[in-house]
Amino acid sequence: MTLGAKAPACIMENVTVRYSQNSPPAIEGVSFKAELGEMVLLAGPNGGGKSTIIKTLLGLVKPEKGRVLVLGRDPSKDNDVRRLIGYVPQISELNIYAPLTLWDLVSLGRRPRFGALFRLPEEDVRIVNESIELVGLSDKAHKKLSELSGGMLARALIARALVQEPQIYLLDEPFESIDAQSESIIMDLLVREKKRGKLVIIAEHHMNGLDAVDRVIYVNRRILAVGKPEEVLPRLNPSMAGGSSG
Amino acid sequence: MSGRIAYALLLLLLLALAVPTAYAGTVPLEDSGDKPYILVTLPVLADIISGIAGERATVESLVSPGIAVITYELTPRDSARIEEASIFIYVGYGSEEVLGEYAKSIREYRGVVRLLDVLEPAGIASEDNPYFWLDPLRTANSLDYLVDILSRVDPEGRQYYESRAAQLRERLLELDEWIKEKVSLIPEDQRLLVTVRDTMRYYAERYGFEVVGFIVARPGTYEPTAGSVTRLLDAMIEKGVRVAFIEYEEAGTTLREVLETISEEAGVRTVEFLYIESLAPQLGVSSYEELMKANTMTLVENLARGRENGQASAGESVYKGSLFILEPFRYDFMIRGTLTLIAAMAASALVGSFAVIRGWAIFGDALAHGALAGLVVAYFIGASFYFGALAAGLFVALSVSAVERRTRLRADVVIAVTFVTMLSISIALLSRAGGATISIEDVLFADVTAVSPEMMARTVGLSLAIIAFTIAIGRHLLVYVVDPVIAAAMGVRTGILHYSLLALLALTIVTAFFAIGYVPAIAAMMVPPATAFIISRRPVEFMVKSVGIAVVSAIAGVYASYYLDVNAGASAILVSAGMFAVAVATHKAANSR
Ligand SMILES: Nc1ncnc2c1ncn2[C@@H]1O[C@H](COP(=O)(O)OP(=O)(O)OP(=O)(O)O)[C@@H](O)[C@H]1O
Ligand SMILES: [Mg+2]
Repeated sequence: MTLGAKAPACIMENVTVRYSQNSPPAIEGVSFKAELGEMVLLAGPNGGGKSTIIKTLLGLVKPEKGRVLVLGRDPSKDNDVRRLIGYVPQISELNIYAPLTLWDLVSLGRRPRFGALFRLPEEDVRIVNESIELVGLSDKAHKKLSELSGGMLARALIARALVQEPQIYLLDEPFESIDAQSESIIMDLLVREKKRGKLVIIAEHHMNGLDAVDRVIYVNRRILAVGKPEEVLPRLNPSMAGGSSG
Repeated sequence: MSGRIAYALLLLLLLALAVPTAYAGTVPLEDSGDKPYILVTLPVLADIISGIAGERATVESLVSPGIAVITYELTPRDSARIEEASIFIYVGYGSEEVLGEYAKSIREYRGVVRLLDVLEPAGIASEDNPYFWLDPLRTANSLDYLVDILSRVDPEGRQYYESRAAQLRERLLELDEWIKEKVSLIPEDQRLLVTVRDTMRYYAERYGFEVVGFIVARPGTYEPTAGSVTRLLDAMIEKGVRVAFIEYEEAGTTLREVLETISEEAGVRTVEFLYIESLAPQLGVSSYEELMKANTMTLVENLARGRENGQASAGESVYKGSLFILEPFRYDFMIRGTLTLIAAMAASALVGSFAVIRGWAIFGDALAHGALAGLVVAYFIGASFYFGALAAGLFVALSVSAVERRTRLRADVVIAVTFVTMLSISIALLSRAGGATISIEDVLFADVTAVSPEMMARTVGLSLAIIAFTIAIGRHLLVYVVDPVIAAAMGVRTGILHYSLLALLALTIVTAFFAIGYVPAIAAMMVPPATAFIISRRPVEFMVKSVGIAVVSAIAGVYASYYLDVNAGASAILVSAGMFAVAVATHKAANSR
């Protein structure tokens, strides 16, 4: 299943994560590798541990056991490697009560380039505008976050990850509240990024356009299956097989 | 105000204790001793009354000599004395009246005498000007009434009391002659009195002094205002006052600082002390007579010298005919106060706007209450108020984030718990803070009129440092407050930012706390950012508007304080709150369109 020559961008080896001492582990003995230029679907039921894996890769959650390497470094100790990850959180986790426009939210992805009073150089402004255009929100750029719909926020978060120009995308249920048309636009963007040699990891319960996905990792506390989508999905969860959910 | 709260709590507690004992008390206590036991609120009055009572009765003052009534706090032991006394005598003004009210409730009105009830109709004293004893002749006129009161408890003693009162009257007349003689050494045009409170009026009337002014008129009230203080300063300059006098009772208060501050501006010397209600045995003032003599000698020593020349008065020329806009600012103290208020409110608004995005709007409350508790602790252990408050503020900030991390409770819940805990610590400690002439309450009522040059330098310096640091880390801080998780995921050092924001909040609130007062400091952190939040779309706009609202409010507050005679910090907050209301109203309208 590997693409041979390329070095693994993400490695998890026998990783166990527990949120508190006396609760069962959220994930247990999870091992996998993913390489640049790959698109991986992280599938599994609610509470299966998809978000936990993503947060562990980001270094936001420390494993109790096991080893995590992102681009050869430990993300929980190395702030710099996190800058190479474009993270798209579940929108339910976003604080929309901030005096921020959609444009401002997207521009946060260029934070290292902020000047005084949050001013961005012209080149960066152009990149922000382009990304907003790519996710089809140009006409909403100057709306406040609290005035946007859930789907618009989700698309804005993807634009924010794009402007970061990361090596790795970690998307936590990015299509949750997005309509079919926008979903295919975003999928095309992610495929473009993959073809540019980026690693794209998407956590989702269901997905329609699975053609672009190279591998599916099915997780329910432990990894239960790994393989091509057409091999893995019908076996585990018929509803996740592309055509049938319509 | 906290003292009042503490009084009220104690009152409730002691009432609860008193009710059962009142019903259980079968033996009337006044019959149990052989001598009547007369309890008087003020030491100076106790001394006068004991002059009449002589051997026949024991006279004690409730407030010990050396303690100002305003800082006195009831102890359970003193409540027992009130309960035991044959009669309880109080004058009936300001905070002294509170003691009388308390005695009434604990004694169920048995043998509680309010002197003003008899002295006011007799024209000897009034509620606005109760200090009748500072005129020996008024004291002499009060003796018959005092004899009546004592005879009520001890009818057989009347003749004894009357003869002692007659002797006392003689001594009072001699005292009057003595004072007249001494005062004659002061040139008539130099008999000018400036004091902290309006305490010396009867003395002044009697011995030909002019009361030029005071910081606060009515007994029992606290707040000087920019208007009243400026008018006093005008009068001092106009009359050529050279010396201002501080009452012993005001030794540790902010009011005293106000008088010192403006006196300096007018080139006027301040002198300690004039004794009013209390005696100070440690300073050689252990009787009424010694009090009157000490006051007189203080006046003579400081006023009897001729007018020194070459004393240019500040601001004299600006005074007449200045513009409405500029009029409040003709003295340096107003400029200092205004700059301090603006700096403290601007820094609070800027730091507060980050706190509001982070969802920590209520944090200012918890921090201020923590700082108050720290201040009280510092007072008890004799440490610096400023560092006590700052240390406690930081402690609150750190414990809130520690608890939040451990329990995964929402920040507002943890903050609310901390906030009431700290408030309770303060109330508990404040209720034990009696027994000194320094009053913690005064620290809480900072006002623009009381800003010393050092206070201004410190507040403006710290505020500018806070603003500069906040702007320097602003672009990182913004990412953090908008969404800590996304920020962490982007490699932002959220730990450092988290603690930086906490430290900034603590430092800001403590800085403002001492400069503009307790409640305004809390409000300055919340109200301008909340208002700006409604009317802003973008971060820079939000912060600029927040600071702008704070600055406009501060300036408006100073004008209100000057022209309407209200507290400047409080009016600044009211202006902000007004803007908030307007923002809410217009925002709604925009939505429904
Ligand atoms: N912050 C947390 N504290 C304690 N337990 C947690 C926390 N986050 C997740 N868990 C637990 O860890 C397990 C895995 O949760 P996780 O969020 O990783 O699942 P998921 O696959 O992302 O689910 P979903 O599809 O609902 O998003 C669940 O049992 C959950 O209860
Ligand atoms: Mg999840």
